[in-house]
Amino acid sequence: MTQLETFYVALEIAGISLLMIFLFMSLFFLMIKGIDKLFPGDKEE
Amino acid sequence: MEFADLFPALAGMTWKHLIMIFVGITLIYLAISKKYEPTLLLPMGFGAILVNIPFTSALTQIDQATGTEVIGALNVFFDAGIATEVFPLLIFVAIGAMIDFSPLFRNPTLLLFGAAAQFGIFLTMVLATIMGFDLREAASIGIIGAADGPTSIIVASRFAPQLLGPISVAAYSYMALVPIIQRPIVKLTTTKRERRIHMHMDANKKVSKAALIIFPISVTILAGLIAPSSMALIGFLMFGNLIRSCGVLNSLSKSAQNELSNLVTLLLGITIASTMTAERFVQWETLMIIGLGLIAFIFDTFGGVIFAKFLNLFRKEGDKFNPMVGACGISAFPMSARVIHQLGQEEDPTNYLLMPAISANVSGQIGSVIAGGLILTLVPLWG
Repeated sequence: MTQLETFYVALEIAGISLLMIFLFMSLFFLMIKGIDKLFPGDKEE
Repeated sequence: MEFADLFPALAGMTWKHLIMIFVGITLIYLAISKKYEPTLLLPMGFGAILVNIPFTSALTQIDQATGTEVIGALNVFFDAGIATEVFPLLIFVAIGAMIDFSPLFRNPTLLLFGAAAQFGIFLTMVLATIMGFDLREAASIGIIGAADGPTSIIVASRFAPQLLGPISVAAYSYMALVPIIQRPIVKLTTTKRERRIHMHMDANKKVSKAALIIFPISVTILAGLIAPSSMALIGFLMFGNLIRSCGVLNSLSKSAQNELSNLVTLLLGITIASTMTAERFVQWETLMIIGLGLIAFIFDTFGGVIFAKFLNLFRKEGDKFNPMVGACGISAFPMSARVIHQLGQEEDPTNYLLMPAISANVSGQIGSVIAGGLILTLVPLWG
């Protein structure tokens, strides 16, 4: 792989990774909202 | 009999060895005098001295008399603990047992900062390829920006074991220097008015025990289904957290937080030093890695702050984020949250940013592990 090709691949991986991290965090956000709704703190403690 | 036969270590000493012994002493000085990550920098500093005495028995050597290989203790530790990833994964169990996820339940929106503040990792990875590093080396250098030692060690040991020494030194040194690195960047990227924004957070909101138990299990399953290569990283972190939150393993949780953490940290530091030999470390590459690591930390902070400003464009007056809190999306816990809280207090003594800052910082711990897992998953697909 030439240096230019490596650069483009790195750019591609960087873009996909950033998008996926946001996707993961958004899913975790929804998960927390769901769990909190199903098991609210005030009733448990 | 010649001098070299009588004193092989003295005869074999080169300027590169002397530089590395100086590096070792500097790390010990920083650990003791400045208290910069002493639990890791001190063993690493001492280990650097240990492995840079020519013909040291701490490393595997060829016996001059018999020609047989004499295995060094540090090589045994390296093969058993780093090459197999056991040491960093055990550290993750300990870290998991130390994390309290309840601040995230109080303001889950802050989870997004844990994603934005990983920007430096990927920018640095791209920059490293421009500087001539191959894809796997570039990914290992970029992950310094995770501000998370074990993640850096796992990625580097898998993709670029020859760079493990400088990457670990850079990762742990910059984590210790977070207060010095983040302050000027946050001040440069925010206005006085923005730094004075108050954030309202329901600190009294109770989080149920069931929620705290279900969260680590759900995260593990979800992350595993999307990126199975990240399973070891996320799974061990969440396992540690489950031990903490389940409430029936308090003794194990305390052991993970104290004895396990201390023991593995001790072995991890001195074992990483086995890669800090003069031949490997005294190179231009090392300086480039240390420079790129700093860039990663700077752009993590930048990414978090700019993302908070972006979100503020869509939020109503009175409900805006203090953009400084975005900078806490890096994994360096709790230093980053403390720095941002202090900065907020300097601008307005009535502004208490600690709670939202802690929430963003906890999300950064999840974000850094996810970033590491994604790099482990994606890089092999291309190269």
